[in-house]
Amino acid sequence: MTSLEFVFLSYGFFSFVCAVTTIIIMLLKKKVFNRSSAHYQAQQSD
Amino acid sequence: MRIIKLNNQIKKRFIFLIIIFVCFSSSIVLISYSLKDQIAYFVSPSELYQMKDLDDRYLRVGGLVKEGSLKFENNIWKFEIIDEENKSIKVEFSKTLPNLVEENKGIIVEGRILKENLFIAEIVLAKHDENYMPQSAIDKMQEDGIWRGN
Amino acid sequence: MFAITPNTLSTFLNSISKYIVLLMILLLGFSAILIILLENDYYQGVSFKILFIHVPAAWLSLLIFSTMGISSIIGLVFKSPTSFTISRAISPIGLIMSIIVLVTGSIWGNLTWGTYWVWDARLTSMLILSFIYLGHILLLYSFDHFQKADFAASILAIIGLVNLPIVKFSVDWWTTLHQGSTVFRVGGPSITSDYLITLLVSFFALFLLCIYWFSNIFYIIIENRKIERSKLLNQ
Repeated sequence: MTSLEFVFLSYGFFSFVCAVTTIIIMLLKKKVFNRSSAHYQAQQSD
Repeated sequence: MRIIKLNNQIKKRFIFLIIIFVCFSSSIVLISYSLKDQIAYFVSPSELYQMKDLDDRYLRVGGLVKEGSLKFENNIWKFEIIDEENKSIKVEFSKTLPNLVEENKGIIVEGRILKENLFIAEIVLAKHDENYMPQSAIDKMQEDGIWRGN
Repeated sequence: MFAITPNTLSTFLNSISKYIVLLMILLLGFSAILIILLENDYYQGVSFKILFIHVPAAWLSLLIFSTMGISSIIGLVFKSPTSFTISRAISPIGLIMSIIVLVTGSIWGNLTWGTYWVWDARLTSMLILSFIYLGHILLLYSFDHFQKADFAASILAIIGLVNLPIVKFSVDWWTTLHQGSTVFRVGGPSITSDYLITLLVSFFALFLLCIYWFSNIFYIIIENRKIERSKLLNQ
């Protein structure tokens, strides 16, 4: 591999990690949002 | 501004934490102080000459590649490592060098001393410094006559 | 920090969230353009461009650890739930940053030094830092009650503070393969101004990314706790 390819590899790794982290956080946020709306709906119907 | 009342409980907890922190940090300081020679990654040639019982000891020596000493003869790289006190040691290496090994640049060699003033390296690492600049900046400094590097 | 409840901090972070995202995207794009346009280093060539992720990530991993340690001290001394929640939310981000530092650093090391990994003082202390982050996260999730977990993890964070000066000054105290500090050093930065500006821009872009992650993780923790509490009250 040439130097430029290694540089792209490290930038690629960085972007990959950042993208995966952001997606995981978004999924967790969506999950907690669904959970709280389900919970409060159940509470209101009681 | 809200003034925080330092009651006894808070004071006690704070002192407790400080004691924990001081205990741990002093133990770390003592450990690293007593292992000072082991933590050092390499020795300079002048430190090497002060060491005793060097027979067949595997160690690392670091410094700059001496100007005009880097040669490739009979499939063996030969160069000299020089330190700030102008002590130098001859090194021989039979594998491929890292790309960044150049004269007047940092280098670390790992291996054994064969005989007086000859080091047989098994691993060679290039040690670059903390200065970063483009070639154009160097050209400009050379024009202005303020370039002090190599 | 003593009067702020976790709820008010969460609402505040949510209210500024969209400005942070906007500024972050602008800065990330700007720094990407700067990095592409920059001239290569005279000695290392193109491989030096790894610096613009490696160094900001390294600064952030140290900054995040010191934030974690200080908020743990405040949390333990003043029994402040906000401080505990801050260090709980911030430590995964620090782990990610330290992993980025180690991976990009070893790629850079392969290009310049000729080896992926050596056991010199800087690299080893950085590895220890990432293990402390990992231990902190594991401690946070190994108790039934989050208050107990916060207490144990905070002690670890405070002890881990000892490692920070070792990481920072290891290159000055011992001989290492890793080069010395470029920016925060005695005698001023040893880097030309165009590189320095790019470095600072990419640092702020990454910093804002961390703030963005932090505000979302904080929100998730707070909302989960609200649901749990409300469930307990309803039983």
